[in-house]
Amino acid sequence: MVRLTWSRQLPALPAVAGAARSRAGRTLADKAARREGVLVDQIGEWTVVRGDDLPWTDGVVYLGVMPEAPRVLVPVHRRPSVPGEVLAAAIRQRVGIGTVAVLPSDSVNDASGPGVLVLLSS
Amino acid sequence: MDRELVGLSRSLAELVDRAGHGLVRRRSLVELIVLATVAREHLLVIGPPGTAKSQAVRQVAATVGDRYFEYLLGRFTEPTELFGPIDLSELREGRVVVDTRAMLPEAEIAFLDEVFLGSSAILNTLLGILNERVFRRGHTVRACPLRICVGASNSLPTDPELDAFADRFLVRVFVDPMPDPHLDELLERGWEASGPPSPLGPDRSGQLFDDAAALVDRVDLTEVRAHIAQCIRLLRRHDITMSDRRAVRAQRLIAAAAVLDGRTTAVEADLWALVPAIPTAVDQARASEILGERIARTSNAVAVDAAEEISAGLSAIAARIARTHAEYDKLPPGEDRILRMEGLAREIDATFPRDSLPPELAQVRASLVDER
Repeated sequence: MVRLTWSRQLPALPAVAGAARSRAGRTLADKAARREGVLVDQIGEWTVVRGDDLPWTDGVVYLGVMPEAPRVLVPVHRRPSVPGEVLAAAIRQRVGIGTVAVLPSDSVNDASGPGVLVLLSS
Repeated sequence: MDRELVGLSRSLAELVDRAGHGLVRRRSLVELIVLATVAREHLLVIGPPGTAKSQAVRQVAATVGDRYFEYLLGRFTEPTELFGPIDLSELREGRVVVDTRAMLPEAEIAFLDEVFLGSSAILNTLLGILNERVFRRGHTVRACPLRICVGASNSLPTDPELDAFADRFLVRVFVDPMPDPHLDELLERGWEASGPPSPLGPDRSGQLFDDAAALVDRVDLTEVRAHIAQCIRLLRRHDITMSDRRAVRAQRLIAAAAVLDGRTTAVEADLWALVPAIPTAVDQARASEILGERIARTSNAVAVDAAEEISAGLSAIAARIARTHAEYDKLPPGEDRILRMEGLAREIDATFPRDSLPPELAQVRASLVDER
């Protein structure tokens, strides 16, 4: 088993989605509902929004597409320690196909967290 | 400093000012077109439709009075549409001669939109024009007065067979649609500037470019060559690839930057011109950060915005956001103010990691959180 760690992504990936939880998630969902073309997914305690005109709220984590793995979304400022294709293959093996968001499971402001949180979206 | 060189630099600065007439946040594109032209290199601009790519080139050509050719390529574009029809009278004599009047082979400045959609026949002929400034087709062989070809595309080509052709465009510029904070200025300037820019005048024509290009050949790079090599090594350690050919040719951009600034000796302040030769947008942004102090804040008498943006990197973005926040802070309370402020907050959070937010932006962000 390979431990996944995170380092800084420089420059940030273009944001194509946003994720937030708890109160921030509810605010994000409310704002997204008022914008055309913004899709909203509720995955457990996380709210994930996708589209061109992304809303903002304090606590949102913006997500970008890994260039080598278009179905994998990661925080725009973070780079996983394994190549995108390897990460995508591992996720597909465990949870199936579909677009996924992969977040460090602890505070998203830390450079490396103990694990990952995978949000699967259809 | 040589008076003639200073005069040339001032004329080029005036050219950029006039060619940038009516363009919003595209001055750096105009500056890089001038830089590439002086370096006798070609430029590729990547960006979505409607982002003033062709307008910038057209205005440069109009300002100096150069012969200009523009075309939108498609998969079915015939070579005759770019290079001219076959002369039928010659054809009857058994010779394939192309009538190039008013076509690309006679242009001094050319703009080719969707350049990678051209057929292999078109791209192969273009290769000769871009590399050698020679047009060859059938029995027609003629020298081309082309100073610069600007190619445009929505994105970089993914087909490896296009790599060799794409590599002929040394300078890469990536443009995005106008950010929300500048839309008002775009609408206002676009309405006011409905006419062409005022030309420099017959005594200061495209010869200006030729005079500057001749000086590029004489620029002394001795003082700066070791720094160029260090920069390239540093970029390669960070997986930013620059081919040997691209690295050698990039020296012409640095030399051109020196000439634009009124010098025939290149110095460290010209190293910013290395960045536009890096092939992708992501790597250009990374390079600005990685090279950091090596291309620290610099200025150039002609390429004012380009030098500042490239050398300042994230610092330039932070300064722009802080300035825009100060403007928005004057708006009265209401939906418009909230949406604009949220747009800024989104840009801050999407661009800067929270743990390395510049101090001026940390204050801006805190005020945006309180704004809700």
